[in-house]
Amino acid sequence: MNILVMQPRKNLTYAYFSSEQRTPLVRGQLDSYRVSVRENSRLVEELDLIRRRCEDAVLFEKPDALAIRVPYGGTEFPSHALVTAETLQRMEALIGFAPLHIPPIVTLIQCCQRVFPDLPVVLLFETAFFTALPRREYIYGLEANFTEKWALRRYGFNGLFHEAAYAYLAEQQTAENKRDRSQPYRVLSICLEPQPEIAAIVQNRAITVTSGVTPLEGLPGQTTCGELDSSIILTLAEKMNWGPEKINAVLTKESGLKGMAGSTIDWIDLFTSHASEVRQARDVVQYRFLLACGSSIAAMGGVDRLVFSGRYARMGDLLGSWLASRLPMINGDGPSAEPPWVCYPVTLDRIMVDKAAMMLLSLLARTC
Amino acid sequence: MCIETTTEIMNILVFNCGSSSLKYRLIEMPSERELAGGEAQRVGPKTSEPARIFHSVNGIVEEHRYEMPDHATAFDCVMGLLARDAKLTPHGLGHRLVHGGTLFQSPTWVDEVVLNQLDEVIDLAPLHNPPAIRLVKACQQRYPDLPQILVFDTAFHATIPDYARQYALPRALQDKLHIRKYGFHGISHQYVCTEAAQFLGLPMEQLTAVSCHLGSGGASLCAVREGCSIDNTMGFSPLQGLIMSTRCGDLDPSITLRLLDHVDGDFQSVETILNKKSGVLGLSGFSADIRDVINPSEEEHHKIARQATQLYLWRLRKYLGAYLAVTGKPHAVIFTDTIGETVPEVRWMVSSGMEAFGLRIDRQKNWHLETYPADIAASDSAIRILVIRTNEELAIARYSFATLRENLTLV
Repeated sequence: MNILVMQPRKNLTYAYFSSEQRTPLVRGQLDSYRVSVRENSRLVEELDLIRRRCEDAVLFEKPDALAIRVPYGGTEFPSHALVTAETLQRMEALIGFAPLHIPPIVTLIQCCQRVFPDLPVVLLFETAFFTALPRREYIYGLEANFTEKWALRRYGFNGLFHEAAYAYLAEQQTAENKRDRSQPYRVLSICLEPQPEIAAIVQNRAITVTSGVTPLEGLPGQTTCGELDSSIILTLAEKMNWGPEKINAVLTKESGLKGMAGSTIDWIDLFTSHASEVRQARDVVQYRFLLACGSSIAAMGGVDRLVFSGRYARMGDLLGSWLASRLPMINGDGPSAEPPWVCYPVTLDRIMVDKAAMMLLSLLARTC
Repeated sequence: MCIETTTEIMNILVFNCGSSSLKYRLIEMPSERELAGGEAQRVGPKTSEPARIFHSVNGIVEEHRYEMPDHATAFDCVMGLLARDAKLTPHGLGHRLVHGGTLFQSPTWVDEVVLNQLDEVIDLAPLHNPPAIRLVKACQQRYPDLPQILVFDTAFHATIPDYARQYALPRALQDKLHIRKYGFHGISHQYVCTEAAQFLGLPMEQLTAVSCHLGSGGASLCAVREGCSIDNTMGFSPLQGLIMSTRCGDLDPSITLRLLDHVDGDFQSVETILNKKSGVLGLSGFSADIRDVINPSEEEHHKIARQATQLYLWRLRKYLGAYLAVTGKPHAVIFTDTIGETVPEVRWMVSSGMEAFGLRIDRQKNWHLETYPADIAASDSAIRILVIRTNEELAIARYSFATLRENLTLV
């Protein structure tokens, strides 16, 4: 099966895979996506170029399906979905909750349908995995009139990574027949993306996640502040005379690793640099990770495995040994030759291809 | 007053100043005997009921009505009540101050310099600091010879390391506005840790513990390593952390921004929402006291009460796990203050199923608690679980006495 995956963010990245191969046949990005999405005809032209690149890549073969990453699906999408007229209606119903994210994706889907008529389009939602969070985890300590009116609840925003990393571990465990099946399988899942996220997963259900209503809550990111005392925001409003938009810009673009280290750095710099400001930022971040791991383990009542995913998953080897030395329960029954963590360095593109292929095959099996 | 004769035995008058109340206790040191105590209520602008002082000596409580437009007047009234008995003469005053900022990191003797410095920290806790500081100044004016010691709720947390103290914000902004984790409830956390160390037969400087101060109003957890605070769930202000009676605790920053936008930037009204209308009260809609919510009397409240209780306990459990992780294998988990001392359901729900951390609670010991301090851990638990009565006034008296004695000896 040949699948084209798309990740619309500030730009649109795409990759075309034959599901038998681990590396993409074609990959690229549309830098002008945010502009062209406002002008359907231009986006259609650009998507048509992508279509031709894909068709040229494999002789006599065309794409079989399209998968699009969607950052937010609210409670409306507790699972990934195949695009139909009804799905599109449900997407439009979400616009009020994510007015910046959803409209361009609806446009993208519509343009894709013109360029790739007859092709199944799969929507993969980053929030879907977290719609099953227990209520005690997703509610906030506020009056119901705010939480209900604004549909405030906690989500995770790296659901695709967490879901895939858990599935990988569970499969591995089953294959190696290592696990006591009478006990629930508890995984501490750390996603190392520019905005990192920790989830506690028991039997394929997320029971905690560090992100909140938005990815701003939780762990500090490359430019995002993470958890904050609300009074700090009110102090910024009072003492700096800043409005919500200005504060939001500082918290989302100037904070996190950038704010602490004084320059733009990523997770590789954070874990490998010897510069003193970076080391200080690393101390803060590692400590926050340790707190979040402790919380997650308390929530699960223990832990069976630690897994790192995300584009910086390889940094898990550095972070993992630091965490394992402080969380003895991760080591299980005793010292073993293998480290007690697993790095799952699979790209999001690849995860999307596998997920979409699995969905389409099971649909096919059902219709047959 | 003759200071030389008082270095052996001193009566310390401890004040705990609320926004409209003044609690006081007269404690003889070093015997720690309580000689008198009471509370001035409805201090400030007139309310529907008269301002009054409940004054207690030897367990006999008297009610006195006075006009008390401010805390200084309330102080005069308290001094008048104590003056009726020569044995109740205070030799020193101990004040609780909620926020000492970075200026005050240990108990401090009040002098001219300190009086001026207090103006720099007055705004840090807008509800609590102003009346307390005004009271200190009034005392100094009226009784310039009576020594005054200030004990700060933030001081115990001065040892929190930078990596736990810092927020992930631009450095220049943090420096400019003094944004950092200050931590609160320090007097209580330090007091119960001292008691725990004694109970376990350890010197305080060796004690590693997680202290859970669960008040009927505010609540916080404190991670303690080798006798020093290394983290507190409250942060820059007391708003962060656990779900409290009327405070929201942790919140996505985007929610605060949305609220701010909703009220056109009126930060004071957001502050009121998050501090006064959220937490247990906001969730339940009928009570700010978690005890009412755990066991609601009205049938109609059951569902909403269960949800509020679950969130309260869940947040607590997650923070306990976080602090067990950062303290390693501590000697003890300590429960204290109204909820921590008297609500076994809370202790049970938070500490059970925590064997992964080496913590195992004993059901019987937890439910049939008769004396304090008590150890409610199972005998095979690697970590003790202690229930200890906090006594912030006694702690203030101890610090005040120690500070006075030290300084007077030097003289």
